[in-house]
Amino acid sequence: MSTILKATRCVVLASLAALPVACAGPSIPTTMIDPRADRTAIGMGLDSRDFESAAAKVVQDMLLSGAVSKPSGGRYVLVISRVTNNTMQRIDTDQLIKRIRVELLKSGKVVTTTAVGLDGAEDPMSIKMRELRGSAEFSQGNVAKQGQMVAPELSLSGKLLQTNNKLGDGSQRVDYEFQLSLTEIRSGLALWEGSEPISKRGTNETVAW
Amino acid sequence: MVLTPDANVLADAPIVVEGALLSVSVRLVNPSNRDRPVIETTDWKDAAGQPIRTLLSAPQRLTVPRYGDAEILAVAPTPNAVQFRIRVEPDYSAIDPS
Repeated sequence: MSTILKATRCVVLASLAALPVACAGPSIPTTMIDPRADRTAIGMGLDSRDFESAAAKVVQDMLLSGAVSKPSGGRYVLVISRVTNNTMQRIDTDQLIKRIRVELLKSGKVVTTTAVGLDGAEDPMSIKMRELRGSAEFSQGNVAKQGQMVAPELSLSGKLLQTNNKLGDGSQRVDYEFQLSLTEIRSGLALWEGSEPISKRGTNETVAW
Repeated sequence: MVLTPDANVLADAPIVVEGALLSVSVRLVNPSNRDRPVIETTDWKDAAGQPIRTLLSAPQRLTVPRYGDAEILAVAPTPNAVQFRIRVEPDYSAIDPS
């Protein structure tokens, strides 16, 4: 009996001693990733490559469609409306939207206002600084006068969707879809609409949430 | 236009359309009996030959189906972008898990 107990104790102790080694996992050194030469494996979830790729396709489609080319020339003023994350992952929708905004700004066709938004201004400083109007402490040269803010003409809204499916061969398929609409605020009509699918297939051992 | 030797696809001459923003399309052809997943990257430069940093140069994945073709479509990120270079290389991450 005591021999069995001793043997069991030895096994338990040996297992505990090996635990830190097992938990440490394979030794992969930390390295910087160049996004332009990123050959790392892809996962079933969304990573920056997916957002970059989707944003690039969306912007390309907007530019080619002519929807963001103002007939009278100049730039459209855009406001970001509601973009809902309906995926099973915790995602800040700015991972997609900010990339789109930056590229549209670079194109010279669209500029985004940060002074208004559904939940208040993205940058409240534009309104806050107007409190300096008439202040004797501040030279009024740089203080915004009334009627200088520019109201948006276009609104960008959208939804991020996810569907998981187990396939007949035992693998798993995850379909993501980024749906976006560009609405002309004056008329309420969607000048451009786009849907960017991202589909991944992998083993059932990986999870996409 | 750069096709890496291991991409195993052919390419037609690029079709360039000049407008407010330059746009270019290239047809890739796969004469083999296997699908060819590739990564396509389009780099843009201004008239002085300086590279333009843009998200539109992000690598894009596409598959050229067996005995079929696929189209690369690229639009210049800014009116200053007047030169481009398209690179097509195999996508080794497109591995069948089964």
